[in-house]
Amino acid sequence: MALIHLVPNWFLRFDIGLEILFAIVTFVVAYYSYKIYKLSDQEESRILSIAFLSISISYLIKAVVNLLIISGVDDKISNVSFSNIQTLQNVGIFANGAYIILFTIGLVLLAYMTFKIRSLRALSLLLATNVFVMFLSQNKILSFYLLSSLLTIYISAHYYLEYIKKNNYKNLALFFAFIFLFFSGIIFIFSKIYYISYVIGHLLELASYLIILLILISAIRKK
Amino acid sequence: MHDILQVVKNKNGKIKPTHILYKSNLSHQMMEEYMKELIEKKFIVENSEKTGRTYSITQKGINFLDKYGLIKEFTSSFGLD
Repeated sequence: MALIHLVPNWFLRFDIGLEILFAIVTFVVAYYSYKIYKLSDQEESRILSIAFLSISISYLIKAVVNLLIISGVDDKISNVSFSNIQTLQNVGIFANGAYIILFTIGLVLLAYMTFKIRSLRALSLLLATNVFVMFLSQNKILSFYLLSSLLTIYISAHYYLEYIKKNNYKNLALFFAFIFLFFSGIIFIFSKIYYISYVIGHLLELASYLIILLILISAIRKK
Repeated sequence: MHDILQVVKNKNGKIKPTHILYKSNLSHQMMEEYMKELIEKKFIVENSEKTGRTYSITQKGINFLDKYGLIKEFTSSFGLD
């Protein structure tokens, strides 16, 4: 299992910076959700915290893998060694698997949270279905992007319905944040063919996480 | 839940169920449900005394009231409420 993207030269390393930024933003959301959980004992906050922590770790892994690949490519130019390339490939496969699983767990938890039901059976069914479909599929990466896009659509719908119900503009902003994440997932599918898809996918993710960060900052400031 | 907790706190942290019922404008059943949840969350504790049951607020309950603005803003922003 390899995440293959066509990356423009000028975007190399910049993507790693963005992934680290996404990891930090999602970690901060996870931290504050946990803090709210400790204060309120509200189950939804705990789920939100675990979901964002999972997504944060997944981005960190992705950033480390990309860094390893870039340093591996640099190293390959100066010192070609088959065992080095093989090791790099194995680490890449393992890390990509971890990234995909953790990101999916994060999105499944977010989708589960929006249903406002508390059932371990429902959660395990959601998780198992997503993970099995991905790993039994011939094209795992395509399945991953399609499933994560499907999950983000459900999460977006929740925020849109919340906005309609409560007229809270922050819910509308979160709706757009998850819509951006949805489109980034779709666009990443084409990054095997088009260089620009990888860049646009990252920029959409950036827009999404900046919105989430702004919502968090505004919530903290109003205390 | 916040209102009940505030009522308990305003009564110097110790109150009888009848007072809560009177102050909170809830039905008896609703109040019992909220009280159960507050006890489960360790925001209040139930005391059995000679004169009957009383409830007192815990430190966790006081922290909840202090940070209620933050909690409310966070949960409504992220659609958790």
